Amino acid sequence: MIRVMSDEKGQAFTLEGITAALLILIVTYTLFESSVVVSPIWSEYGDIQLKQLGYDVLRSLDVHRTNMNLSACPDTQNITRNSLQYMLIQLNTSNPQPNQEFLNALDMMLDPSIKKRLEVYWVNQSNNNTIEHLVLINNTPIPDAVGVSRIIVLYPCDVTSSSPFYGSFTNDTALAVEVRMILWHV
Amino acid sequence: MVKKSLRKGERKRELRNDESGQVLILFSLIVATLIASLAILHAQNLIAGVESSRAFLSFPKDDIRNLKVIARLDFQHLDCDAEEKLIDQIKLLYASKGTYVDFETISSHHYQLVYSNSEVYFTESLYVEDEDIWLPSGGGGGAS
Repeated sequence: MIRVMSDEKGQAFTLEGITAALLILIVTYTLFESSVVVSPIWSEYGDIQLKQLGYDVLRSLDVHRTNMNLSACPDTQNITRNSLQYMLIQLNTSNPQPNQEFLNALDMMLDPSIKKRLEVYWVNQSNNNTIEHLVLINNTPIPDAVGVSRIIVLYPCDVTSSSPFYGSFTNDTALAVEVRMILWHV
Repeated sequence: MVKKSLRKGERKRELRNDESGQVLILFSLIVATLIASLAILHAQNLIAGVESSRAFLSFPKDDIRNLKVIARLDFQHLDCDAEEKLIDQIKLLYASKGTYVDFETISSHHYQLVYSNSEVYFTESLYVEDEDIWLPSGGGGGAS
C-alpha cells in the first residue's frame, strides 16, 4: 500500500498523457476549423445554371442582320419576328408591349416554373446622355433571382416616330439598347 | 525515519533521471506539428479550389462575347463618328452596372476591348473590317 502511494511515476505519465491529449485535441480542432470554408459562393452554384440559361435564351433571340434595305425604313423584312431586334423595333410609346411571336419564343425556351421580368435600357443622346428604361414584362423578382443582359444595336432606319427610342437618336448614330432579363424559379 | 528520507531522496533522483516522459512530449509535439502542417496544406488546397471555380463561374464570358459580336458585326456598318458614339453609349450602359468597358482604338480597324470590374480585368485585341456602311448613309428616323 505504501509502495503504491509513494510511486510518483504514475503522476508523470498522467501529466504526459494529458499534455498529449491536449495537443491532439488542438490539432484536430485546427484541422476541422480550417477545412470548412464558409463562402457566399455556395448559394451561387444553384443559380448559375439559371443564369446560363438566361444568357443562352438572349443569345438565341439575337438574330443579327447581315443586310439591310436602307430604302425601306424600318426594314422589317430582314428581321425575324421572334428576335430581340424585331421586339424592340415594334415597341410603341403609348403601350410598349413585346410582340406575341417574341413572347411565344421566350416561353418555349424557358420552363414554366421560371418567372421573368424584362426591361430595356438605353442612352438618350438628345437629352444629355441620360439613361432611360422601360419595363416590358412587369413581375416582381424574389431575392434568389438572377439577372442577364444583352446589348442590341438599332439603326435610325429601324424606328418610326411612334417608337420609344425615336427621340434618343441624334443624326447618323446607332443606338445601343440593353435588354435586361431577370429570372427566378417559382 | 532515516531510511524513509533516504528512499524519498532516491525517488526524487529517479524521477529527475527519468527522461522517457520528455521524449514522449517531444514526439507528440513533432507529430502534432506534422498534422497541423498537413491541415494547413489541405485547407489551402480547398480555398484555392473554391476561388478558382468562383473565378471561372463569375467570368463574364457572355457579356464579352456580346461586345465582340457588336464590334465585329456592327462596327463594320458604321463610320468613325457613329462608332465613337456607339462606344460611348455602351460605356454608359455598363458604367451603370459598375463595369468599365471600352474599345480603345489602336489603329484603323484595330481595337483593344477592355472589360474591367471588381472581379475581372480582361483585354483582347479585335480586328474589324469595314464592309457595307449603313451609317451615316442610312439616315431615316430619329430626332436631330
